[in-house]
Amino acid sequence: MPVTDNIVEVDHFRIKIGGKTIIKDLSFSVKRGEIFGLLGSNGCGKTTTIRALLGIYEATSGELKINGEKFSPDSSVKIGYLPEERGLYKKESVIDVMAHFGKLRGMRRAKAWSLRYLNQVGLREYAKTRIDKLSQGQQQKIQLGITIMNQPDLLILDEPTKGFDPVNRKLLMDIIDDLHRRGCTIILITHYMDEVEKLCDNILLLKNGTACAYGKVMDIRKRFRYKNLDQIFIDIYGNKETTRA
Amino acid sequence: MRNLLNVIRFEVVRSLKKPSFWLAALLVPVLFTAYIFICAMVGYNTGNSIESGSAVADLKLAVVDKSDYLKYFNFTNEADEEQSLQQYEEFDDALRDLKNRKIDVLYYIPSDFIENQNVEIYSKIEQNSITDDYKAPIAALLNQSAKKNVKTIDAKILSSELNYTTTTFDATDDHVIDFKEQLTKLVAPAAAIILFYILMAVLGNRLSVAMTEEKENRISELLLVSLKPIHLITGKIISLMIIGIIQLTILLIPVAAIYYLGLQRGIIPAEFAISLDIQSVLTYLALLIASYFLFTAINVLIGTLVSTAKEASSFAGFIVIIMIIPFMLLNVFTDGDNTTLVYILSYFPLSAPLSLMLRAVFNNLPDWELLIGISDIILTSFIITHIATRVFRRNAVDFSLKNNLKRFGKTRKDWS
Repeated sequence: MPVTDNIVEVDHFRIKIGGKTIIKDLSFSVKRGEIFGLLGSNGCGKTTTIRALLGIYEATSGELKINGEKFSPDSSVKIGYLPEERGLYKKESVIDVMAHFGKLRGMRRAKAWSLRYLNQVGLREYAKTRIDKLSQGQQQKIQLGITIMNQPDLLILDEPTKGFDPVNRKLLMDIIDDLHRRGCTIILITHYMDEVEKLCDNILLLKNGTACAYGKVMDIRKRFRYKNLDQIFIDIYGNKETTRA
Repeated sequence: MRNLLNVIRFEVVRSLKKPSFWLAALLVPVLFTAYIFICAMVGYNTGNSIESGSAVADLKLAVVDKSDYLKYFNFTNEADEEQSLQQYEEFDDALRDLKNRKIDVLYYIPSDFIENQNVEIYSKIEQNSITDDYKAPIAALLNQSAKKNVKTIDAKILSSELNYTTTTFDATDDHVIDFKEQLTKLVAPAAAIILFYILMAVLGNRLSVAMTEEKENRISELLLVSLKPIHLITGKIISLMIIGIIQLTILLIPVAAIYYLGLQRGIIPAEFAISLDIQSVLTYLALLIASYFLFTAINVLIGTLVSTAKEASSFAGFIVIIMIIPFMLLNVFTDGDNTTLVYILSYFPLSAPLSLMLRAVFNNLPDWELLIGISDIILTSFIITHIATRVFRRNAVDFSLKNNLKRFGKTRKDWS
């Protein structure tokens, strides 16, 4: 498998679900080691694109590749995915669920890693507690642990801070920062433009199933007369005329 | 393969950890044991009241018969069976022995017994209700004697005391089969019917919601990135089958123990001692496992199509009704003729399990048809497993039944 600079390559991707075209024609790439922001208003196709990239949805046409090949759970590249719709086996204990997902991803010491992580996030004493007995914030920490437990090469976070309190948000940002420093590529889907400005190298703004802006954060800001990303977002999704990048 | 084993281990262990599993698993044998115990107690008490009774079995009994009603009763031979029973010629001798505790109970049948039907009972045990307890042995003795006194064929017919000799020929090769052989042939398919029915009743609900948990808890997406759908679906089916086998084992152990003890203690008549035909047991075990595989696969498919446990339960109930149609049409099988309807029910995969088992019970199923039937069920189960895998992959993140059914049709088109 030839190793290219890009860990993710999407080429002329199109998808139709239930007779409705969600993505018309989308092409972008994500470089190894970068933090990439996938932005857009609700229902514009961000999650659909990620699901198609991960093989959960079948593309109507076009190619979506991770590490040069169509993704499969058997792929050599290690993926960490925090979906938008997230949940866990609610009636099982924290440690059993974490160990199960660790084993599914081929970890040999999944239980030991899970206990270390729980210790790190202050949930060590809840290891044997049923997940539905935990608070929402505590469950989010468990989900985050499961997402990063196999030291992923590519981390995909779909609205990771949705519903997070400032403490958990800070914890997540620290973890993202740590993983990025270790060379992990991150795709971030978020509505928080401050996070994007702070973390992302490149961004893509989706509208009506196409990319209406794609490139480096500074280049896009320059194109929009150095407005901040919040203002650009409002300009684009407030139905103003935009030019495709 | 590694992930398949991981799914099986996770699913089996978490099921075994649930108190509800053990409650369901133990409830059936506990109820069954309680039922057997109650039946045995009722039988024991009834036996006490109509037979000589175990309470007086250890006592020495004596009879003085002045009426000659017991003349056909051979005390020398038959008293060997009741070693404690002896006959006295004279009442005074017997009474003296009673007072000297050589005998415990004395029955005096006076010369006018035929006219008055009165028996005198003497005993030396000081209890108020003692004569009540001592009625049974003499009643049994008189009963036996009465039977011996019936001499004419007319009287025997009227009292249904006829001997019957039954000879039954096997329908397939005309050889003579005896009762035990019939029982041996019957036991495996009959057990398969009972066990399959118990599996449907006890595990039906668990199976139907097995696949909806991932959807309801929003875990499907995470799972699809971690393992292949085929491993998840196959792992679920295998784990559910293992759980069913554990459930049956928990059920069968006390049943086997009760049966064995019942035979040993004489509660179960010796003619019901079954010698199992291994080939028959293995064949019907294969049919039972294949049928359970089909039932599990269908439930898993339903789980992949619907979005909530409630929806899954409704559909699963419908499937159970289809599967027990052979029960509803029982007379079609008991008639013994293999009509077109019998063949349709035997080869339609959903009704095949019970149809084949019923035909076997009513001695109407050739081996070759049984093998075709088992193959039919297994093949259908694999096809359903394959469809469930494809459907799960497509529908894992869509929580609308309407959309799932639409896409299910589309999925089928994609394969062709």
